[in-house]
Amino acid sequence: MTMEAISYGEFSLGLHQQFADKRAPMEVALEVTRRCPLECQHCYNNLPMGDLAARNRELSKEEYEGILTELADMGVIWLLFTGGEIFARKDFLEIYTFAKKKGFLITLFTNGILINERIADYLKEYPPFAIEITLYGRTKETYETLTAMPGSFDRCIRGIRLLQERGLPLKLKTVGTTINRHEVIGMKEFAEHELGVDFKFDSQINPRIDCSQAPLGVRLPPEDVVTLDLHWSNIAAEHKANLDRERHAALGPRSTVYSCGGGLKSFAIDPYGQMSICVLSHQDLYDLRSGSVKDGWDHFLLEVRKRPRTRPTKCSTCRIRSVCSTCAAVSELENGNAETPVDFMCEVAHLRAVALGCEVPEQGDCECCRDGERRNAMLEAAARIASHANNVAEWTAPQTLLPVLNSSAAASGCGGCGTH
Amino acid sequence: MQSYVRASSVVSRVIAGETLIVPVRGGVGDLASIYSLNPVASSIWNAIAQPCSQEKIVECIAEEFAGEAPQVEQDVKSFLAEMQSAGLVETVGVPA
Repeated sequence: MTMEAISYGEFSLGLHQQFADKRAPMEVALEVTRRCPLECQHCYNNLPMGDLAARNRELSKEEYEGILTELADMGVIWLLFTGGEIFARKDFLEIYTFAKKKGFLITLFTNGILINERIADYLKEYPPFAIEITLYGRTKETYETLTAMPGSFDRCIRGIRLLQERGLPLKLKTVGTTINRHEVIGMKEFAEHELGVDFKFDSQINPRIDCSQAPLGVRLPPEDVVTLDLHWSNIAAEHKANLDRERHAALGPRSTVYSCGGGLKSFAIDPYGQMSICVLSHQDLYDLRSGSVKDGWDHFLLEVRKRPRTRPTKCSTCRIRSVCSTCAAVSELENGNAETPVDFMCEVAHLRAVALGCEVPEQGDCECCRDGERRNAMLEAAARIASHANNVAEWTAPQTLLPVLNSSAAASGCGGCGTH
Repeated sequence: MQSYVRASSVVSRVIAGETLIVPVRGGVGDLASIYSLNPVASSIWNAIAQPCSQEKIVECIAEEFAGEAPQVEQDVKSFLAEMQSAGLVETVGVPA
């Protein structure tokens, strides 16, 4: 008889291999609230802390206990608690502890500013599998320009220190924006060298789920996204390896709208009990206040996941998908339609491939391919990136660092899509 | 008589037919690891859902897996010691 202590990596790999060809819910993202003390313009879903209507609609602790019990019974392993800001809920630790006692491997996404000694001590007693804090700048000025909350930088750093002093499994990350792009290197050095924790960044910014375009006001242009990416040789090498693998793979056109793990291995539940393919996707929702998680998974999400594409697009036969960040949910947010290509992502993908010296097979009706209207500009930008003419280390703060406020405007939604 | 019982600081789950033990509280086991039990070990784990003596465990395992009692006793003993040192099993009562 044996008890084997398997490293997490082995465990995860083994389980994913075992379920490779099966549809099984393994990972679930639970948005416990959309309320957040910060008012970051780039955020896709934040609501003010004092939004009483939002708070009153949120699932209760008892409703979460029912859902978590179902998720455990269904065999879900990985659980992500995200927001909004998870600690904006006064009862979050109770929900979290209930989940811990069900045996989930839990990751927490937080901005860290509400973490105090009591919360840090509690997490030491009931440690999550991972805690990821998003850092919005390396300096107070930049951080608070993006978050629009005075004092938030110091509170975030305090939260980070409290978790680290207790040896908790902390990671830092950031979102590259026009406000903080010049501090991404500094944030990475702070995380990796000063704190000794992992750091990752992503420059993907989407419109808000209520259709507001406000986040796009701080989105980096494609050239900056790729310049930042390729500044690090490991990221450049990863993109290159993906492109090489894709070039030699026999890829057919995609037949379904969704081609990710959403609805196949994972799904999301929003603060109001709406189940969906992922946290970004809000066009197909199943109300858990009217049905069970199992029914939602077995029937509703299965149908969403099987939905066939209705038309060919330039993405259908694209051969640089592995360096493209688009997906059906991003298309929903950007274009209001899950099948409509996102031109911004298309340009980023072309820039990545061309700057890395990879040949890009021509696509039909693509503005970055031959005769496309963005073709020449894209090639010029790729040449600048490849020659390091645009040096990340020399980037400076935007000329005016005025607070970027979004609260009322961004949260207002479009008013025209029928859902907001 | 001394009995063995699952530690209250861990929780077990059966995923894809395999019993996994996941630490709930800090300081128990190795947080970077998942503990996986083979079928015999899973039977012992099931037996100690409630406090259970080593003798009783040996009896159950020898019967379920048709093993020779002395060998089973040796295996059970070393398994329980291993679980105990990882903080996954607790003892109640006093040793005989």
